[in-house]
Amino acid sequence: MQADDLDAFELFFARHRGLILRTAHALTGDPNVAEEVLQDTFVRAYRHRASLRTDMSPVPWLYRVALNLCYSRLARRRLSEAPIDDSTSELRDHGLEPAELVEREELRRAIRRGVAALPEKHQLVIVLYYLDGLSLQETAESLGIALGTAKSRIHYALHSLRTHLGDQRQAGPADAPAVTAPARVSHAARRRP
Amino acid sequence: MIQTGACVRHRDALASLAEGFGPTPTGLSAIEHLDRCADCNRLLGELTLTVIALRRVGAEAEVASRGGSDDAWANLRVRIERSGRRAREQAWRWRTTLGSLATAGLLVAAVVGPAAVHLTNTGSSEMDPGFASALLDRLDIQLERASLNADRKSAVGGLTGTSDAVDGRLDLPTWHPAGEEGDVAIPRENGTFRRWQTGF
Repeated sequence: MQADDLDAFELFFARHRGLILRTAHALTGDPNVAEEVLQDTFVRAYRHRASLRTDMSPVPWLYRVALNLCYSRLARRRLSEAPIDDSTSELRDHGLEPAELVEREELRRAIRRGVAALPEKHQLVIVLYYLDGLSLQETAESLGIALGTAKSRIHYALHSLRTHLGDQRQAGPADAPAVTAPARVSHAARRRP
Repeated sequence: MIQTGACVRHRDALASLAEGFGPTPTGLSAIEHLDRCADCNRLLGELTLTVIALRRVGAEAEVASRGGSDDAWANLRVRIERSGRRAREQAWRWRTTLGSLATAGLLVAAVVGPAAVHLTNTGSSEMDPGFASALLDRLDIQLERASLNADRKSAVGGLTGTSDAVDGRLDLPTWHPAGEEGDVAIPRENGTFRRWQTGF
């Protein structure tokens, strides 16, 4: 994938597309935004393909970019104020009750804010393990860390999220802080000059 | 929530239980601890709810993303090719700009350089032969040279008869009064003679 080989990049895209799209769906809850995030993530991956390290998995880098794009779009668009047409179409398509739809959106927003408040390494573990449904082994391999490390990061992230969700319940959704973009892309996965 | 040392010790084990990682030696002792500690029971309940919430959001996203866009790769390919073209155009623009700057720099060096070298070699100026000083010195030299040229032209013009101070035409009188001693008859081309006084 170092050369201008679009065929190789197509394979790369096909391999990682599903999980990135799922993450974007989980965090944004908007199919259109999720598609945009997917496209932007891979455009950036193609642009930086020469600087990606070949001895490391590109997954952490891809997820980092996808998470940043999700949070930057959320901060810009304020998806909580989605147009009424979108909500009605979702109700029609999935047969959801309005209360259920509101609850789902509330839950997603709380998770989104909780994940955004986590340190970067814990964010990635939570996204891969819970939102993308990878096994503990797959999560550890994707991030290039030991199984025990992945487990302890999940424990730490769970405790942090519990505290965050508890605080949000007490404060109420109106008082919840606005979503902010997490730390920028780590250069750990990039090739050193 | 008041936490004792035992509660802190079982924190990780509670997270494992909420997650369902399976019983471990520490997990078994945590279960024993739960029988006695209401706070840890509540903590376990909240951790379990957190896990359920995360899994639910993940499952919904999995369903929502299952279809996906069929032409995702086609769209991406178009964007990649377009961005590649744009990057190439930008690179060319940069090259053109840099080339223009380099040419301008060479031109300036060609104009100013000889003057700077001359000044440095002759030591006629104490100024540092930098760009500005060299340029000014060169202008001074040109003005001085122009002034000297004007003076020289004026001097040469005087010698060739244009000056009032000196008459460069040394014409002699053609006739002397006739009949005096020492006169010489000089034949003319038309057969006549003229007289010329030798004067000595």
